[in-house]
Amino acid sequence: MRCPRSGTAAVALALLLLGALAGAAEAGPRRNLTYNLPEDRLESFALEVRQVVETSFTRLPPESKDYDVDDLMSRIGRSESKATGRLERVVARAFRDGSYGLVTRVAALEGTTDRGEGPRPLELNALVGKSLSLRVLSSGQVVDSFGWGHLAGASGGGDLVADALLQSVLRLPNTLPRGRPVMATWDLRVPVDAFLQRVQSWVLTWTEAPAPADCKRCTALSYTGTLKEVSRDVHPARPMSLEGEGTVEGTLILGAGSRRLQQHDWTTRWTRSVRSHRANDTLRGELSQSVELTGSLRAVEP
Amino acid sequence: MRATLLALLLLLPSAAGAQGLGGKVTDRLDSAGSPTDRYLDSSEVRTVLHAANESFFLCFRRASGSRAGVGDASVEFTIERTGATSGVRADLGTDLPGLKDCLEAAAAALVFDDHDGDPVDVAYPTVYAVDKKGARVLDYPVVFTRPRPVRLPLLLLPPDVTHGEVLLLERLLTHDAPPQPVEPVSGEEAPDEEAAPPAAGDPEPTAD
Repeated sequence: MRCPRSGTAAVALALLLLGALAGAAEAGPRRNLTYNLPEDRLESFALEVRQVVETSFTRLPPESKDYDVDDLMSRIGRSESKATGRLERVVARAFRDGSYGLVTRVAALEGTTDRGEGPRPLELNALVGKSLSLRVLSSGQVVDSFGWGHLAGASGGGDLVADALLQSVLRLPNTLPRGRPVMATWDLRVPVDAFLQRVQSWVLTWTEAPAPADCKRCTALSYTGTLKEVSRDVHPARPMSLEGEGTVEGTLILGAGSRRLQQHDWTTRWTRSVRSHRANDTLRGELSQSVELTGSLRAVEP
Repeated sequence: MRATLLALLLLLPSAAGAQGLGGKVTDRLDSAGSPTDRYLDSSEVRTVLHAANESFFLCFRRASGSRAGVGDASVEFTIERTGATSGVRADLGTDLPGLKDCLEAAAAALVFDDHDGDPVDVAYPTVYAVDKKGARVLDYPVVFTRPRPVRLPLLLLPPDVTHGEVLLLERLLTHDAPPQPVEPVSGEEAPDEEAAPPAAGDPEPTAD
């Protein structure tokens, strides 16, 4: 067997080093804050959500003259809904690239809604047992998700838990904000079905928060930030688009040592404009929605 | 040349490790058999049904006896979250003794993966041929399932919004005004109903 000449070997080594350097540059600064997603156990979270939605038409389609829109808006114009329950989560799969396939399931849920006539109990049994599969990096960055089509949309109440499912893996900052804030920016893509992918841009500023009294070694982080969403539904029977802006704030606590999610409290406030379009892409009608979503997740024993 | 080859050999493993979402189909969260695939789709239903064609085949063979010919039958059922079937019903194009019971028993014995979605309604039409060799199910790879409609997903509505309220919103937001009635030509009557496009919430069953 003939050995490669020393010059050839040097070139190969140089190429290898260049590749390694390029890889390191691509990866950016080393991340030191990640979730610990246990691969051998079920995680369980107590869930509380509150959703206040105000809806009004800012442009009525001409077709509306045939309908009693005032009556409709008096019924759906404002609603305040609350729900409590439990989410369960397992790492169903570890991918070769280091990401995790999580299955997060609604294990229990009950709630009420108030459309101006006092709170009434919600029928949410159909939601219990439904799950969402998320492929996430250990930072919480969602790289893929599946199951939204079974939760999203009018009727069924799936929108009540959608926010909490995403907030269960809120993307962490690269580093601990020790003494100075740390910014993080990312896009969150939610593939509802083959026709609609919702895209939200998140810009958060993270700061260190006081650890809770009962867990002085826990890592507590607070954040505030802005949200933007531009989404377009290309389903031929749902020709609609959404533009929205919002703010978000919250506090997240990771367990001491384990860095498992212990607690997350958040509030998002959205102002959204939902437009419907005709086949020639002209505007048919437009609604304005102001949405306040408050939620909390607390780790509990399964 | 040799250097390039050597470098490629050294770099390939890391490139393979970096293969992510754009990688194998089995890396998709909804890839059949993946532990992250928690909802049944029509292709998974079809796979189970086609694998069970032998049991349908036996029904046709027993029921047909020595008679030759062709016929059709449709089996309808619901797949519960456990993966078990319920509400099994067979409709026969040609009634043969014992065939209905046999087909219903074969469908009742089917086992699908457990899933997290709503119960799935399935219709499986089959065409069979009986000849001297017995019977066989013709290639007819159609399975009808009714997907869950996603209605107005960009609008956040009260969780207890009623069917009527959703329909009215869909009318307002997704249906064009009906065309102006055309003056009827003598001898014709003007249509009295508008032809509305199908709404997202009322999909036709999909066939695969």
